Amino acid sequence: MITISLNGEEVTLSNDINLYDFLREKFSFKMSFAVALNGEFVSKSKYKRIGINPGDEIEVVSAHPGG
Amino acid sequence: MKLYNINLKSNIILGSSRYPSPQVFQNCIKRTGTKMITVAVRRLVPGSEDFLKIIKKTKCHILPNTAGCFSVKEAVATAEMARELFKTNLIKLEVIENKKTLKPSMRGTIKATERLIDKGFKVLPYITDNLNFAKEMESLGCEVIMPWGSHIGSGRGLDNLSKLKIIREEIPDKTLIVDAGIGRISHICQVMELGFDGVLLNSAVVSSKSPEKFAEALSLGMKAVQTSIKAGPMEQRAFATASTSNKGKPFSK
Repeated sequence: MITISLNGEEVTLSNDINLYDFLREKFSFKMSFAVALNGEFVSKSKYKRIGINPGDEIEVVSAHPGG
Repeated sequence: MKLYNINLKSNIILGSSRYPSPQVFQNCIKRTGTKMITVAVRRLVPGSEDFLKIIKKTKCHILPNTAGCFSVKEAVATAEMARELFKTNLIKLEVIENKKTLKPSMRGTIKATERLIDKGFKVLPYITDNLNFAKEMESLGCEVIMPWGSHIGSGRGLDNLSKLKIIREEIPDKTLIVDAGIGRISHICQVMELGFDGVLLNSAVVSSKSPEKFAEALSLGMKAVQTSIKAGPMEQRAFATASTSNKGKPFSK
């Protein structure tokens, strides 16, 4: 098991999971969202190629009112 | 006004934050006649999807922002996430250096602008009324530059009329928009009379007692000032010039 941060909260998950599977587990791909890993943007096309490591910080964002 | 390849048929860009309801937001869009709204990205929470549907329904152009970013890295990543979400290369760039004043950082904004332009973004930077700051943005290739009028959400209007005037004079060919500080319709008139191309505002509408009425006033005010500019207002004079002729004045000798 490894521990990471998802939107600022600690999450424990099984080893050997890629970003795509993690996001599918936590959210629905019917939802519109975008992702940053350790402060860097990750495009949708790369989710399956990126593994998750202990201590990773994942941000998942969506549209929000703003000025 | 021209925003890169978009010929926007309104001089008002409206923020989408803090409306009492989606319906009031929709009504304000209609009443201002705006064709572009600003949006943000924030951590995904249940219900976020509804907002995306609301903004798509408006059929307005979307201008995502990097509000709340204090570092270049944050701002660039936020812009990239926004681009994927909203499918636009436009970004209202905010790189802030002071929490209390929300003053934009010149150094941070320059660095972030360079990186974002390299990545194919069309950057609309939020800057102060400092001429050097504006000139840096122009030299980096920004087609639109957005100096503040006063602090975000202050409603004070234009703190430094003469500084904004100089920016207009020194940067005659780019689209200039006052972003931040607008509180009253008279402020919009001042902005347009300085020769600026438009305004970006949010708090003035949503902090008024009746956002929909204020939105209507915005549209009327913008029409009034634009018509008066087209009419060519008189030159200001240092001394009085009588408007009534002295010819035939009684008791004259």
